[in-house]
Amino acid sequence: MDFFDTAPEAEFRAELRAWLAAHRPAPLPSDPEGRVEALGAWHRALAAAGYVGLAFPQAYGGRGLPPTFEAVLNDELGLGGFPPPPAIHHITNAIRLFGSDEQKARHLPSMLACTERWCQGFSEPNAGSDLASVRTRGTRGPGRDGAEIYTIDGQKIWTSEAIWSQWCLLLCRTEPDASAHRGLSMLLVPLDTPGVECRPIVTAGGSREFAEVFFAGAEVPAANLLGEPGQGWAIAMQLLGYERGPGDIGWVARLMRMLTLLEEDIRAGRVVTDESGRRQVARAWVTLEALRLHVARTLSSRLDGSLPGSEGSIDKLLVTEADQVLNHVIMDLRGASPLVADEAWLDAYFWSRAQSLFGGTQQVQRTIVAQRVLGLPR
Amino acid sequence: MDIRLSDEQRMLIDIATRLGTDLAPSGVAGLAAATRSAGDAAGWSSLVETGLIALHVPAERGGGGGRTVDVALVAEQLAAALVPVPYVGAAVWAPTLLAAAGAADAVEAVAAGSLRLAPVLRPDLGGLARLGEPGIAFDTQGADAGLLLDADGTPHAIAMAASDSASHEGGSGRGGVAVVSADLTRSVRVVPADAPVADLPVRLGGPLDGDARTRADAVVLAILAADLLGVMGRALDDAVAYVGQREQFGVPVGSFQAVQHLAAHAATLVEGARSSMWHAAWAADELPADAALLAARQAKAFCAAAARDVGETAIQLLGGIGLTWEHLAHVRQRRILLARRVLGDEQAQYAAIAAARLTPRSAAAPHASAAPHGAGQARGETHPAPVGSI
Repeated sequence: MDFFDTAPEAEFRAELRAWLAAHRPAPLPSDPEGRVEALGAWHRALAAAGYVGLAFPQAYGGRGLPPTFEAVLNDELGLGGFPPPPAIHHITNAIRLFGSDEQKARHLPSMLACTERWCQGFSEPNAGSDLASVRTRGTRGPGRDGAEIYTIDGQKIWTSEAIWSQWCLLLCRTEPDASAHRGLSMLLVPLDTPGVECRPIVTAGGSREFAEVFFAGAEVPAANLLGEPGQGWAIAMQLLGYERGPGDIGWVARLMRMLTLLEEDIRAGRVVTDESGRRQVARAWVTLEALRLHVARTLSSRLDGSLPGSEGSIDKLLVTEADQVLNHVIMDLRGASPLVADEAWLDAYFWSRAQSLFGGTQQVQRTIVAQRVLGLPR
Repeated sequence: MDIRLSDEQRMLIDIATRLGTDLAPSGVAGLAAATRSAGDAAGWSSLVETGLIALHVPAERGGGGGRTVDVALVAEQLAAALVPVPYVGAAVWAPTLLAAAGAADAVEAVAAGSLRLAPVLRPDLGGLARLGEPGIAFDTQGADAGLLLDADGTPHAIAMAASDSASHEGGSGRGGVAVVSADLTRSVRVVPADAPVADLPVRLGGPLDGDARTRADAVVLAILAADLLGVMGRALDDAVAYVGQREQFGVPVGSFQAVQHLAAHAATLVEGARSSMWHAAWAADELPADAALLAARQAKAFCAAAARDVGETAIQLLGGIGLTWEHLAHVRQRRILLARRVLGDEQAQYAAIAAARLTPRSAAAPHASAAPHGAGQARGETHPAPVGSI
């Protein structure tokens, strides 16, 4: 048990810190569209400097480093008050683990460079927590030129970042005769395919983060199948394992940044509070620190090459708690500012409410922990 | 970083778990003061023979040459089994102070089982009492004397009555008076301000400087966090086993989501507590004293809050049986309630953490910036203060 950096981690940390010091971005704009654009530029800059995809093979633009380096990245971004890294590693890992050599070579470099964005087409109006009841169909058959294709019909919802994305990782039903879970496959779908339409859903915080995505006879080559026919559920579960990892997805950095900024504003006298407020900040730090340490432990448990499993739901529950505790404190201590001046804080507050919904609701996570970690009967 | 247990640490956990099973009380009846005292000597010799007393003190200071993490893993297992021996007070806290005072002979006597000292705390249990102040001696079972510091930080021993079994009506004279302890697995005594100094055959060393006291606090807070973790972890395990087999409506009650979600939330707290405790115990040896103390406060705060919640959840899951005298659930909760108070509950830790982290930089100690794992040592400089919106 050693929480110290290894020599390569220390070297990486120093190099990263020097790079960050020289590349601090301008404060993010507070309007949602401007933020998306500024964050995109930040992510491309991080990627160009080699800080995206640390654990990915160098052949695909990664660094080939152990998973614990993601903890170092989260630390340095969060403690330095830098914007978080791109939340892409649920999708990148799905392609790394299940993609063909051609698919990996085609997609991973542009994903890790943050030049192509992906969204995740999972939820449907009637398939939320009950994901296995997905109805969107991918029908396989010969296309007009005789080559094998999938023809997609159906609708997705809550598709994050769809309107800014070029590609969608689509969970759909391709084997109508198989049972619910076994009938699903994963397709790689370009969003400019004829028959695909994205309609933004404005979030409670005012951002066009979500979308409905409609598929009406959209055709993709059969070569765009990820993994095997019927493997969609297994891929989705592995993907969710990464999406629930607050270190993999950058949430630790995101929350540490918000706390770092609050603490700095208190130290500098820009936010004034009493002893009770100071204790609330300390409580938020204790909660967030427990998350950060737990995530470092989780990443260490993968040093032997193992993949995220059911116990990752504990990490998701911890990040949910930390996010929501922290945003209560921020809203309380920043007083009127989030309500009359700086809408970014209000957006962050609503995000903290989404934290207990996306990637599987807090209730779904608790059911997973109860049944698969504690072994309670189904 | 590599935050996994080593093979040696796994072995140590196995040893402590077996000892815990051997020394566990046979139900609540086995925790009556007299029964407890009768089994104490045998229990303590098992710990001595296994080398678990003062295990974390360097060999040149009379200890076992292990690490604070080792002691924490042992404390967790003994607490999980509710072993009624004064491990935290007599096997960790007292030798930590003695080692810091340079009293290698005294540590050796403690490790050999020939000297047992009980730390004397302030009446609010929030810290060590000073010589000449009234106090509460903690973990006094089998204690030869109480241990506290004077205004200069020099350790002194305070005389104790012969036996804890005297109970609250029969305190015998000279030093500490045994009182009823809410925690049925620990003994405590009231120590009057004029309690006489004990005459011990070994010297107790010189004054502890500020850094040594800070580090000693960090060690003890980490071990208290480990104790809380052990109790809450086993409380949850027992409750989960119970709801897995207890049937109502023709099915195990543990198949209901309302029940499952209580257990899952508790499990989340237990794992967050474990990650925090491991870090604090590691930091107690590896980080500068101020950073070690901050890590220890984080773990104590998280574990104090989590343990009370988890213990209450366990009682809820057990239903009425969990609130009967015969069931161990209340024994666990009693141990949690005392351990969370010793050296300060989560509110006390929040206040201290806020003082350390939110004081303006110019006036703050060097540790005021966060001390993350590794970075606390690896970083030569801190980030420039970030400004602005998110």
